[in-house]
Amino acid sequence: MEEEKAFIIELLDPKTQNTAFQKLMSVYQKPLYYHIRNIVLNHDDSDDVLQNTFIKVFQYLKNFKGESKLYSWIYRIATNEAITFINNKAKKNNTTSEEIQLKIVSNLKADVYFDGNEIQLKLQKAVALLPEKQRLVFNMKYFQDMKYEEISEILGTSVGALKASYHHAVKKIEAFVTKN
Amino acid sequence: MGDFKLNNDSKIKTGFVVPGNYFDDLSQKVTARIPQSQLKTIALSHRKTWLFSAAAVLIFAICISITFKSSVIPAETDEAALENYITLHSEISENDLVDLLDEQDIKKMDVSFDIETKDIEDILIQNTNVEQYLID
Repeated sequence: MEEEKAFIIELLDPKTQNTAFQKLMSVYQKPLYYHIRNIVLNHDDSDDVLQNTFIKVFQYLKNFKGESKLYSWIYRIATNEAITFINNKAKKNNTTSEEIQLKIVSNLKADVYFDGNEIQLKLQKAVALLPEKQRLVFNMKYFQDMKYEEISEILGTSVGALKASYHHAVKKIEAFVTKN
Repeated sequence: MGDFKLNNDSKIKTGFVVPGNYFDDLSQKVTARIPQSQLKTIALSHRKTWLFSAAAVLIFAICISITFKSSVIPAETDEAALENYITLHSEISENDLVDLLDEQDIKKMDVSFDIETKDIEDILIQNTNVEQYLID
């Protein structure tokens, strides 16, 4: 906790800000990338969203009050950027975000940045069919191995509600993969 | 084939692949997109201090200059005002004033009069105190 406070001070001090921000990027770039990629699915889109996320983090650092942990604040920005990206894409195509994700998933096999087998492809399709909240919880719990307490801080949902969401998500995925 | 169970199987990975060196170049790409004005927060704060200092010195110099100018006696004084002052306030006699005149002053006062003899005679006839003119 003290370490994080010291790091936040470095991020807010103009003399140390640039160095501290480089360090922040090196620590968070991989986990954030995969978090975003699980939402938007496509590498190029993930790259755009991740860069936008870091730029927003840099710009809004001065507004960070330290009321939440730094990582949950950063993840919240990343999650919102990714969801907004999908929603905007859906609007442009005059469709829903669920439809957009299903469309992207159906193109995954041909995607050069996807080398998954049949079961991995089916799993991605099953996840794309989930409601937004269940999809987020499943990705963060199953693929990213995050603790419920961490997910709770990021999504602003109680641990109990998250456990219920995850349970429902798992049941739906298992049913889909079994059927297909 | 049995029912598919997520928790029974070993963890299934996403299948997502990342291009080589992607993470190596990422921070550079992000930094390049941040506006320069926001990146140069250090240089700007020093520059601001320098600008304020320079402005303060300039204002001080202007104030000194204005104060100095107002205390200097102007070289050219209104001659009419000066003459009036001497006439009203001077304790110097006309003879003393004449002594103070130099050749240049006298030359400046050199005025050509175009008076006819008849006009001079008329003045002398009107003025009975002719002797006084002869003395002066």
